[in-house]
Amino acid sequence: MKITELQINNFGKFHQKKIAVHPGLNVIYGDNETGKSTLHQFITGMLFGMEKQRGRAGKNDAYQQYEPWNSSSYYAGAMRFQVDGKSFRIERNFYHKEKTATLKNELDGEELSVTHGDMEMLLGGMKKSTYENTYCIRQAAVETGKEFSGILQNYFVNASHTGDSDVNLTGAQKKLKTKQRELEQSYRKEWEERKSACEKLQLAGEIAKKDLKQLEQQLEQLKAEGYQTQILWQNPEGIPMENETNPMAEFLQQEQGERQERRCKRGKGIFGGVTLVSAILAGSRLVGKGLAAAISPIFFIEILLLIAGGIGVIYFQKQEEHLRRERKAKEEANRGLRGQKEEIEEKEWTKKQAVVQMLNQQKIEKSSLLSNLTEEIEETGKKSEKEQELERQIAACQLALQMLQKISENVYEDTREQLEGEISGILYSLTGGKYDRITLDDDMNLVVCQEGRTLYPWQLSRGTMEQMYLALRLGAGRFFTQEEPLPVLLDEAFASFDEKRLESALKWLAAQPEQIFLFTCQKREMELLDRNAIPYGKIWLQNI
Amino acid sequence: MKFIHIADVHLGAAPDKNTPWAQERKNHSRKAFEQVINIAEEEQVDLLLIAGDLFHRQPLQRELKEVNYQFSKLSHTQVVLIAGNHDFINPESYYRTFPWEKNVHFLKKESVEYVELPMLRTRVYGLSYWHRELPEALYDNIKVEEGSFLNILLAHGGDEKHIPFQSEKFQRMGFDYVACGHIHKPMQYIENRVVMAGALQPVDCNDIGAHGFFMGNLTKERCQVEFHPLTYCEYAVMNLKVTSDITNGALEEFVKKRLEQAPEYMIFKVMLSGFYDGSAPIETERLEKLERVIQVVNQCQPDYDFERLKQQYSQQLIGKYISAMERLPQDEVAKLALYYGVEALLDS
Repeated sequence: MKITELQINNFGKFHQKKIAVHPGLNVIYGDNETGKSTLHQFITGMLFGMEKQRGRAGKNDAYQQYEPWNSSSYYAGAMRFQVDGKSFRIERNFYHKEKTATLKNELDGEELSVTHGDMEMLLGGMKKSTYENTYCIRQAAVETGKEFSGILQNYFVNASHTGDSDVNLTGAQKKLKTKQRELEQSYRKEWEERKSACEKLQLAGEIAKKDLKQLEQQLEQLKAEGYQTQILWQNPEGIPMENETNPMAEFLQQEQGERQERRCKRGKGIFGGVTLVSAILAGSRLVGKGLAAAISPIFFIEILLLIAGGIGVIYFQKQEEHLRRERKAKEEANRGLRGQKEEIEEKEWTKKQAVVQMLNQQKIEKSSLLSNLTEEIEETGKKSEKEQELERQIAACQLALQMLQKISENVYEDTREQLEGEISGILYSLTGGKYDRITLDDDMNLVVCQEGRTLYPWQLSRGTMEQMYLALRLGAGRFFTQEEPLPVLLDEAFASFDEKRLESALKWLAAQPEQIFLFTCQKREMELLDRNAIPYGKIWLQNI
Repeated sequence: MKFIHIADVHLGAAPDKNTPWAQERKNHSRKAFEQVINIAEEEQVDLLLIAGDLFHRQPLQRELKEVNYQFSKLSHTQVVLIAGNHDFINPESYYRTFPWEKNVHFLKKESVEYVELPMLRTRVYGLSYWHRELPEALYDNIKVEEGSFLNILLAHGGDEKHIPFQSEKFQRMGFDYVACGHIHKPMQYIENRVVMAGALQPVDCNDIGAHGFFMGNLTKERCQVEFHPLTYCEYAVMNLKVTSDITNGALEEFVKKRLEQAPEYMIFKVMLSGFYDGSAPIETERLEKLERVIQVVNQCQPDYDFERLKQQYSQQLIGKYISAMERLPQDEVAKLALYYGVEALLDS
């Protein structure tokens, strides 16, 4: 693309200006504040349009900065240019409320549509951001903008020589990662639900196991006491049904009854003992008293005592008789009790045997429960259909990400080599052969090789660094333009160049196919061009 | 002789866990079983055949008592049952010691035995599972007693791990009727002669279609059975072909309408096929949340024209991505990955 004429109707400080442009190298000379940046912005505005940003962000944007000084609603201009030898004219009004753009093929007068992307097509598919980061090198922004490495990466990845370059690797990766994360969350939720269900079952299983163990211990103990603990399952009638008898309740009742009886028996024994002892004591007292009376001189008292003793004897004899009877009755009762006891023991054995059987039943019930629980735990242990589906989806996300990474790496390598070749060629010319190999590291940093040493730009002089970035931007610009190169806007790009460097840079630039606009506030570029008899267009801002 | 043949009642099963209707579903097997008992009593059926898996797991004593109570209500019917692979007789099983009602005959031996019902002039053969799996063809060589008695076999199994059998052999052995269980789908291997009852009610959402029992008449000369569906629950597949212009909202409305039209006992598995708009994937969760939808299987493909995309973006990431993915072995994951990747690339 070659710009042939700029027509500024109303843009910043310029009104109704027409500027003819040289197809090769143009030097736009002017002191500070004469409108270099305005013209710079006008050209990019004509190429890509200009948007007013909303709100606070719009306060200092380019739109506001170059709003016409006299009338803000008439904010317009036109530009003639050639693409592929054909002449076009674009006319734009930037005024945000009545934004218009018309594009015309001047040869046949055909109206083209900017809104339908015809201008974009003439620009070879280059985006504004890419342009601003490559061909349009701004004052004090020589070092690449932050976006630049991202743009480079995307371009590498797309190897964008043709077609749509909007496909965005990082965006796609981000999308896939988000999707994967979401899927993983649902998977985790499913998994946790299953896990907690499983844990509940396991807890129930543990309890059942414990109960079972206790039952087994009880049975073991009863077996040691000589009870039959084998399950007689071949003979179903051998085990009474729970509803037929309630051995446990009966057993308990029996236990209680026995305890009461025992207590009672113990009480009777004590009573009997006391009566016996008192009877013996009474007897011995009587004998003692009789002997004492015989030898005692105080006979009267003795007699009285004897009478008393006699009464006592009768009394105690009666008492003894009564006791004897009682004892006899008790002995008889005891004999009866012994018989009863045997009977009770026998009964107790059968009852206890029933308890054993009941424990056995409980054991069976518990182990059935346990085996059912184990089965259920096993079933819950398996992944659900939904989980399997989610697993597949997660795996698909991973595969997609892997594949994207792999492809982009391959493409990246190819493209990087091409770009590096381009940049290296430019740097070679710019530096007069001093640096011949420029490369990009993995983070898109420039690296230069000099006599086998690897150097980063900051390790070099300011002038060399600027040469490198210039080479990078021109190289990248060329690399990204699909058909014709776009005009290059260099805004004070050579301020740090010494004369020798500037000379070789200018010589090289003049020989390039791109149209070049060199914005400067110094006359040395023009002097050097004149001295070398290089043809160029001269635009003195003071004079237009 | 009038008989009812059921199998795979799976008492105690809890289908559709984690759904709002799980509690209700839990009761269906019991209710269906009780209904069969009532029908047997009403119809004064002579014989009730239960071909295994009456219980979903090891029966507990109280469960056996409940079932026994149901059998006790039968004033006329004789019951013959066996244990299947789900309620197999383990060493501690209550099945071993349970005292059944007089009209109930439990064939609990590990090998084929028979019970003779002289009143019905019938012998019922069968065995019970003592293990979860039984890969031996135990029904292959049964010696059927000769005479005028009707010979019936209760057979549980029919797949590789559970007593494989061939229905033709049964007839050669001389059985008048073979009442099969284990496979949950009701079918007649040999019409009116070798019949798989199917689950009495579906046990999980993969048991698609009608479920119920067979009732029939058997004489030495002929046998005639008829399938009687029970409708506590039925799973059905709702096949929907999606086109790329359908919205999620419209799809949801459509499914809702179909659900309203269907009988209330039906629970659906929604199968989506066809194509969807690649930039607006189908939100299956929305359908999954609908009542009486147990599962949504999305087999739709995005309406991407991969060939066209490949040409359009031949030198770019999308084109290269599609080509590279197509070179991979085309399993489900690779196909999904192709969609996901293209969707992300076109969308960013």
